[in-house]
Amino acid sequence: MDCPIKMRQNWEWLLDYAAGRLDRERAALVARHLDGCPDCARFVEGQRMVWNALSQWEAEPLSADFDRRLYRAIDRARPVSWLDRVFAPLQPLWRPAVPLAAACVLIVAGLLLHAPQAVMRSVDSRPRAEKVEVEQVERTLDDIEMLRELPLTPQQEASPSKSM
Amino acid sequence: MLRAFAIACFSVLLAAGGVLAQQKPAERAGKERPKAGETPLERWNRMTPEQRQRALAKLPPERRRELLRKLEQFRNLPPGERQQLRERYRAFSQLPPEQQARARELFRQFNSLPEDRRPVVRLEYEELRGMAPAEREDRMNSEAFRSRFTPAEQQMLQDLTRVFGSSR
Repeated sequence: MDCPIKMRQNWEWLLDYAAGRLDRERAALVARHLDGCPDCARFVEGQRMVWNALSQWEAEPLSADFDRRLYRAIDRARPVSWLDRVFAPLQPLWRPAVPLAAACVLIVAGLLLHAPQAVMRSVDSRPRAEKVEVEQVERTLDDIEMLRELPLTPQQEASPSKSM
Repeated sequence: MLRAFAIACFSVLLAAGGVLAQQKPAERAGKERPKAGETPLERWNRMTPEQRQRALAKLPPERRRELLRKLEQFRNLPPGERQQLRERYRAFSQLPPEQQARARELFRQFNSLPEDRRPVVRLEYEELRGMAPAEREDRMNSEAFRSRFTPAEQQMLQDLTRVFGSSR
């Protein structure tokens, strides 16, 4: 077997050997080569130490606000628009107000739906109302003129006992 | 996303507040809200001169003059007659719309009679409407009645008393 370090080939054999992943046939070749090659033996020994250290390493438990700090760090790394910069100081204020605003919207929508006339009443509804009003007055006066000429009402309600 | 939602919420609240604020003064004023049982004429009387002026401005000049003439005529009636007409109008306005329309149609026919015939027909109508149905029937089948009124007048009197005559 040619020396992987000197020949700069089959490096992965040394790595896999150190990790115990190399097949038996190649492992025997590498073992025989390591007996006569101190460089490769040192490399394999160093690699084994790394593997041992990694297998003994235990990750520290995460703090409770790790996610929040992580997302803040990500946000900080992201490019910020001018709108974000304007509203950023207000964030602590509006965040609690969102559920409140949503509730208010629902209440207002309910009120508006409950009283559709309020929505229908537009700015120009007043002149129309006046027009209706004046037409009603016209109709009433016509009816009164008619009733003055002819008592066109049920007999019981137009009894002659009613004095002028 | 949340920010956009919050901005939208506040915009809706502001708009809704505006709508409700516009609505309130009109409701508070109460002047334009019809009272129960109030006639359009009474509502008209409660309007301010500016409101009346604005309402009249919506009418063509001829109709405006006619309306003002009728209003003046009504105001110049003796108070007793005015009151009686108001009561008559209240009774009339409680009739079903079809019956009101029929009354107006009969009145149009009545108005189309020659001027000298109207008082005669009116008097007959007033007498007939006070009669019991059988008595009225006898009268309208009498030779005197037929000779006194034209077929059109007879038909009109029949229609008038059928709708507005006594049912005793």
